[in-house]
Amino acid sequence: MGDHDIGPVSLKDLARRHAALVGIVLVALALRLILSTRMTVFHADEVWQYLEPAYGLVTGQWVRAWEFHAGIRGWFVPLVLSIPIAIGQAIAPQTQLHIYLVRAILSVVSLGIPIAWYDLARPLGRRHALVAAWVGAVWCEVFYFGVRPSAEGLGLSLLFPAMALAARLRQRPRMAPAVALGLLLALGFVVRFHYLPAIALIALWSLGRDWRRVLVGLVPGFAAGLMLGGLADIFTGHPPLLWVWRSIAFNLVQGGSSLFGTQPPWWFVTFQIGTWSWAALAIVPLMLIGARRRPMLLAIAVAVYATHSLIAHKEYRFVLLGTTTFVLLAAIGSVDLWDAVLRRMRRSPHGRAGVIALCLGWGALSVAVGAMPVFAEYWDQGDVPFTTLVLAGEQPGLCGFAMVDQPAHPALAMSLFNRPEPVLLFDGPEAAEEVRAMIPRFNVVEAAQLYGPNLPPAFHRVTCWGQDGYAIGDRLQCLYVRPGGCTGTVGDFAYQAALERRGK
Amino acid sequence: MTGRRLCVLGATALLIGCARQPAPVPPRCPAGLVLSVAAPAQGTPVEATPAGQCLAARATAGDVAAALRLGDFYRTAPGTLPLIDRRGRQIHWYRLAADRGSAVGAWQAVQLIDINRDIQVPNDALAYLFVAIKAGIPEAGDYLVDQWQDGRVDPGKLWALRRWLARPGAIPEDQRRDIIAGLNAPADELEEE
Repeated sequence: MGDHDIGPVSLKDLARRHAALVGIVLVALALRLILSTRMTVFHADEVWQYLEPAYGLVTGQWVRAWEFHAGIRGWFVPLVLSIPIAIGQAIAPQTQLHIYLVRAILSVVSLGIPIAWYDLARPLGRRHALVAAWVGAVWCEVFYFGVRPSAEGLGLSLLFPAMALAARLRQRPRMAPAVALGLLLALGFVVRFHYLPAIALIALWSLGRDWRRVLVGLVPGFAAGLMLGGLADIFTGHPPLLWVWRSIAFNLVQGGSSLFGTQPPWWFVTFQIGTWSWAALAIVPLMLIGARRRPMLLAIAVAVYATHSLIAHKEYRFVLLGTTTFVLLAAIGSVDLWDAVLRRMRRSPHGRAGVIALCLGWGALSVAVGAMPVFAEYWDQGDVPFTTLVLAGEQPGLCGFAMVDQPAHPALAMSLFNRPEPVLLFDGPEAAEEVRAMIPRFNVVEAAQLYGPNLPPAFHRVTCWGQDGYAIGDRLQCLYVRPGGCTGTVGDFAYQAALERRGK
Repeated sequence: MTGRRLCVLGATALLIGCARQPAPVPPRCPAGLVLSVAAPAQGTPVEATPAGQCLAARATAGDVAAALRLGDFYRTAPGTLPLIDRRGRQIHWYRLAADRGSAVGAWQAVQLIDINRDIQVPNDALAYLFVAIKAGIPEAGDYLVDQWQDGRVDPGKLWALRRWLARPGAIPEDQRRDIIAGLNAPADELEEE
């Protein structure tokens, strides 16, 4: 049995034979867990498309973003995330344990990425596999999104193992892995159906000469995955998978996605090169070298970029599967280039030194890209508003919470606020007057520091968490508290209703 | 045979599931309908009064004029209505009108949504602004040029509009030329999104 062919051996044996890979996976886990402790949110969707509905399934309280009213979101991910949330709420309901558990589980699930990269590169050589696994462990775009409760992050955790399985099945068709591949591809579709062309390519990849043997497992596996997605919808009281059609109808047929901004067709390429900055000078040529060894990976990445480029609304995260596949190809290419250079110098390319040097190089490149102006902002994105929400929920005696002139809607996430108290929304030129009229209904306010003087003297500022270094005019999320309780109802300013009026 | 039946059943179920039953169109509201500010002043939205209820039902069923009238009511109501989410209700009715093709609704929505000058024009405001420009509302074109020159619009987001502007005939020629000239002028540094 070759190294590439992992058979039924004990875990201890496996760990001994793959000690280097185990070490890499532990590094990957450490990086992900460290990131999990931060309140960072890359995109609002992580909170309002996934955490909120999941929290709503457990507690009944959540902020329903417009997508759920329009019925264009599936319930599979929220249902899965509701499990750690339910556990966290059962153990320590007044804390953020539920959020940390979600991130910790996503961290563990995303460990499939470096393992899959190892497996995808293994047929090219052990050094290729180790370098690929290392890059899968430490590349900033991989581990940053690995812990995000987002369609794109979960898509990576599902579809890279699917690619590894497809590559194996092409060589050795077997029933059980074919079923697993079908399941992974279907769940990848349920999580982010926009990846369908890439999913189809991965399925095609698995069909070698003995394609019938793969197909008999792939089809039922795919059906089972779709069924899981559909059952999650039914379980939460929605028509199974209808959201896929509604989403396509809304975004593509009605052009609804253009409400979120449009960009020219080449934007993904230019933005990605901007993100990598000078590192693109290394990554792109290495990717082209690696693509010669794994052309199917190149086809998958190009399919992701090409299909998404046809849609007017574009966001960096949408093509993450393609981007990280390019990085995997570059990792493979770097070993090939190293070998070629050493051969030209008439030195043996084999040996640990080369692997260590390449791993150090990739680690440094990841740090460099992570520190580039574009990516550097992502590390603490969302820390201030979401930590402030947590702190608002923790104010002693809280009986009503008002959010005033917050820079974006929605700003409230019940999953982080984590208290059943009523919340009110005020914004616009008449907000100050409205706040004054509704004062008895709340005793905690989130507003800009410059807004503070508009509040009655009973309110005092508690914190502008994480904004000490900002100019006063930029401190938009400060907490103000007044003593005493609340009377009356939230009237016309109930957060959810006010949010819906704003079309959010 | 069974497979075929299953296919037909599945397709029928899918169609039933996909088809949203159109809301029945409520009867026309009485002529000379008056919306009173008395109820909103006490904290009751005008949509809860008989006249407002009639207009809201019509607007929700697709009557653009009814939606615009409700939006206009909250926009032009004298004094302040501190117990009513006046801004939210304006946005709601103007957006509804805009989503059903009203350029006036779109233009009003832009001015309500785009209130923070320190950030880029929000994407939904920008989309409504394009609707208003394409409908030939001259102020909308001027507004876009001002925001562009203030660094409040990402150049990429104007790509499709620039292509549209390149084709003459859709809006008056002087308007079109003014917008193109304004968008070709240099812009300030891009604000944060």
